[in-house]
Amino acid sequence: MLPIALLVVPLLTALTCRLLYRRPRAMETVNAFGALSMMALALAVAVDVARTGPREALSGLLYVDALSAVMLGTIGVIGAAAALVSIRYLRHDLAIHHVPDGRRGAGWYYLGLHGFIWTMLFTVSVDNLGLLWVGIEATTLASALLVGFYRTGAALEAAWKYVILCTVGITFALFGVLLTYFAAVETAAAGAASLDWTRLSLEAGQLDPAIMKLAFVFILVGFGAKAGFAPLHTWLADAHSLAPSPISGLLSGVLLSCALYGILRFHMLTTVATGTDFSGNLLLGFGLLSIAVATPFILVQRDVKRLLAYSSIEHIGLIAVAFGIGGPLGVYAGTLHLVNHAATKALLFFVTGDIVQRFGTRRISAIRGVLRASPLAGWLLLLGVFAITGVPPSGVFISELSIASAGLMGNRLQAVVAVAVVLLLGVIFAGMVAHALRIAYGARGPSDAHASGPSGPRFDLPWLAAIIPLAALVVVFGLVVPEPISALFEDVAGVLSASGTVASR
Amino acid sequence: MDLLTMAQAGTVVDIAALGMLALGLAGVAVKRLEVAIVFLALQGVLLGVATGAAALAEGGWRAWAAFGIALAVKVVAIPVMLWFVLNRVTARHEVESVVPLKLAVPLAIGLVLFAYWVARPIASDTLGGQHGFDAPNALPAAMALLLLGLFTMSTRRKALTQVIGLVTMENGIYLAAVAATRGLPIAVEFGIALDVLTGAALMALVAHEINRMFVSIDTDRLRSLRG
Repeated sequence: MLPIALLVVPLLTALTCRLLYRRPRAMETVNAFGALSMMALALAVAVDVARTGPREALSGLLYVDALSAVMLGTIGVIGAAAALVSIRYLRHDLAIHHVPDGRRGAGWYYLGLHGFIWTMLFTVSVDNLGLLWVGIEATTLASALLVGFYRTGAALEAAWKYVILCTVGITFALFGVLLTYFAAVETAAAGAASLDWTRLSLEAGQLDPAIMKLAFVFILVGFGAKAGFAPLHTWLADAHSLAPSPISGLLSGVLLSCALYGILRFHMLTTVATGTDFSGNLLLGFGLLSIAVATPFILVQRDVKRLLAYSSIEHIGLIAVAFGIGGPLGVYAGTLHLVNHAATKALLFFVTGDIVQRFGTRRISAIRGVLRASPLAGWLLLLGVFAITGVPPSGVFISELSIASAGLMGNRLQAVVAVAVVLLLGVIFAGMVAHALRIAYGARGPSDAHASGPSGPRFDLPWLAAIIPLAALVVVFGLVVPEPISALFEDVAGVLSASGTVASR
Repeated sequence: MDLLTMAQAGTVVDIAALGMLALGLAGVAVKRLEVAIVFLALQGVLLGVATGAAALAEGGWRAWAAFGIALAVKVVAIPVMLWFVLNRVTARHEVESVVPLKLAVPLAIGLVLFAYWVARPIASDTLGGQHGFDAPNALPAAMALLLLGLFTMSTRRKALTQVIGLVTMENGIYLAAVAATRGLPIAVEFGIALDVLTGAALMALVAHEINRMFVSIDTDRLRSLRG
């Protein structure tokens, strides 16, 4: 029942918000409570799976195992936070007439936001890998409208690039799905082939290794474009920087991981079918390449939101490296890093959204002395940047340390990649912190060095209610991963190995 | 129950595939957007025929569902939508290509030959004569359509022609699905059709907005985002 309710609530919220656009206060209230109930349901499903194992619903259409549950919980928390910070963000933009169509535009915004959350929840809770593909394509379509929300030339250009590149990419992924189905048809007895994960994961050992290798290459190219792997990442910084900031947080924090989630399912099938590290090594290679490509763009970046976007390419690469290393430790580290990155990057985008609105620009050189303009925003920014670069006691520190040690304990290739990753992380740390210190402390030039800087609207209750728990979450996972979350993270390794998914408990 | 034998279905799919390939090649050579849209719709008709034939041979209500989806989306919805955008747009209706037509056609033929060279062995080795279903040209044609679509997307300037290229690519995948497994599970096919439809609608919408901003739907103007 719970997984079904989880898919109904965002749809109802989306439609109700759109209908209520003439009454902004009512619309905002529905948005907030709809998002909070969505989060409560998502966390309830996750806890349920952690305690009692995988769940099915709608006669097998939905299937939630530990990997899905981690994703559901993450989407729930970050999605609810995005909905809450949107209220203050959108009010500000409405006040300065930046929202096309005014109040009606705000109605479309909330419709798009909850619709977008729905597509992500759908993607990670369906059993059928073909429907998984459908879900990932649907996330592109839903979020593209939000990327182009401001309807400026640059925003439309970003939306166009995003839709075209990701849709072409995903067409390749469809070919990968087709090849997988072909492999399943060949092995299945008496035409009972299906793309259901619950079936395929059990029969993975009998799938034709050559076909599965080819399928995985197509899947990696297709979903990899969507996940932001270099060299198909060129759309990412545009889309993530020109979207409204609460949306940027969702795009970077959870949407990239949704595409990676799709890759991981096929990674497991390919690994079991071939009995080799073929797909794991590909993940390792693309992960390292993504981190390496993102590094120079982080060092010389001039746009604060693009800085965060390139940091997301780096971290999705890091998560890919972790799952590529594999084994219980690698998978645990990757899962933990996925969650840590989601919380930290969402926090950074939400706070940066406030800063960009205060200063009216995304140019790093024009944003100076945030700590004077707003101490709270300044401290949160510093917290986020130090956390995302892996300074203890942040959660990212623990997960990066785990990834590095998993690599060093692995084979020679994995150890070499781990060392290269750690070196690159050091360079990125220096670059990010240098940008952040200038933004937080720098003087705005001799003329207004003594001024207190631009002031923004006061932080309202929903904004604080979203940001403070997020900031806490960023640090908490660095100190302790409480039950039943840790049990859930440990179960993900079981999902991604041959030892059994359905019968894991 | 079976209205067609597997062998007959194979022949129908084979002929439809060749027809789609011919339309795809001709699409590279056309000068007017209207003609390109009509060719795309005709591709959809042939795809519908292939889907219908393959599913008829398998038997069951799936036949009509798959056939109906292909017709509704590829023949009616997408072409009508593209036509609508085309007529709302004030720009000239010529296809604008980065590569001159005299060069584009030989290049496209080269792509088709390449597709045959790559896919023909697979088609005869692993797929050939499966349950008597033999469509030797289907997989190479599918691969060729994929490449032709990608070629169209990368050489054409107008947003609308890029959508046409994308739909051509997707037609290729559909055809491969029919050739290799005689279609995907019906729920998946339905979902894919829905996605393709909304995707094309969305692109048409964005193209329309871009047009309002920049007066012409020339994606070459979309070059301000760098780095």
